[in-house]
Amino acid sequence: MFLEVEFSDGFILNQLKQNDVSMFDNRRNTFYDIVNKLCEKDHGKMKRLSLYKDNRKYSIDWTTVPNDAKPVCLKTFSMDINGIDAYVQKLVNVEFGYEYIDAKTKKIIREVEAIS
Amino acid sequence: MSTTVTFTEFNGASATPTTNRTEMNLKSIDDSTSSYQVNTIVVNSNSFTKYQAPLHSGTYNTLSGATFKISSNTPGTGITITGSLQSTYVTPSQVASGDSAMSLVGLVGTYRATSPFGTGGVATYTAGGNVYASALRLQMQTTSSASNGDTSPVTITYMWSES
Repeated sequence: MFLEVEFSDGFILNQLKQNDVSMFDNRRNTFYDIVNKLCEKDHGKMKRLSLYKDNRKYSIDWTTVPNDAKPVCLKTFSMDINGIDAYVQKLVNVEFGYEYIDAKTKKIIREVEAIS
Repeated sequence: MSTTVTFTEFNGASATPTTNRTEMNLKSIDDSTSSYQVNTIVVNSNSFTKYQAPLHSGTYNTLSGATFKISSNTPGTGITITGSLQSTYVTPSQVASGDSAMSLVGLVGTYRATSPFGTGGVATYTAGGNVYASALRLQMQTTSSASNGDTSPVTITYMWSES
């Protein structure tokens, strides 16, 4: 599973190609760069945000989302410890989409899809 | 892409850490390495308390929702597994911990860098770098009605969310 972002100058930021390490802080991941819009200074606005998982592609046309929207990619994991198997972490669920603050209500609106 | 999670066990009077633990067997000795089969829990006594904490490494944006649960807290007649999340380390012993039966639905913990013990744990961690989730303290407590041999196996599950 990985994320990919296309910017207005054609630059593609790919989580796999970055080895999931931020271009700005090596303790952070690529999503840190995406959610904080750190590449927009050099490459312009985000045009597309895509999630690739299990040979499927989930894309958001970022030109159609509210101006202050922030990407959401929240992965939930579980790890079982039973004395028999090694501790194996499993991806349970992914929430993918975006969130923004509604101008009228001032509440956070989350537009996400649950991908298992 | 995700963080890598390993478990660290803490033993002795000074919480000596042993990283990359691969089991959580409860036994009548406070160490990370010896077999539970030669350190059995005598009927009507307790195991030593056991402290283990998940350690996240790798890159991430946020970590949240640290939750621990058990598949069964009564793995046999006269046997209860107790559990709690601890930010304070107490030298392991066979004295009853005072904890309730380990939760079947989930204990929600926090994240803290450097060590799981101390103040300042946060529900959502954003600072980057290696970080511990809360330490889980387990103990097996038995009564005189407990039977011999291995208990039914139970599973501890650690769940978390990351972005």
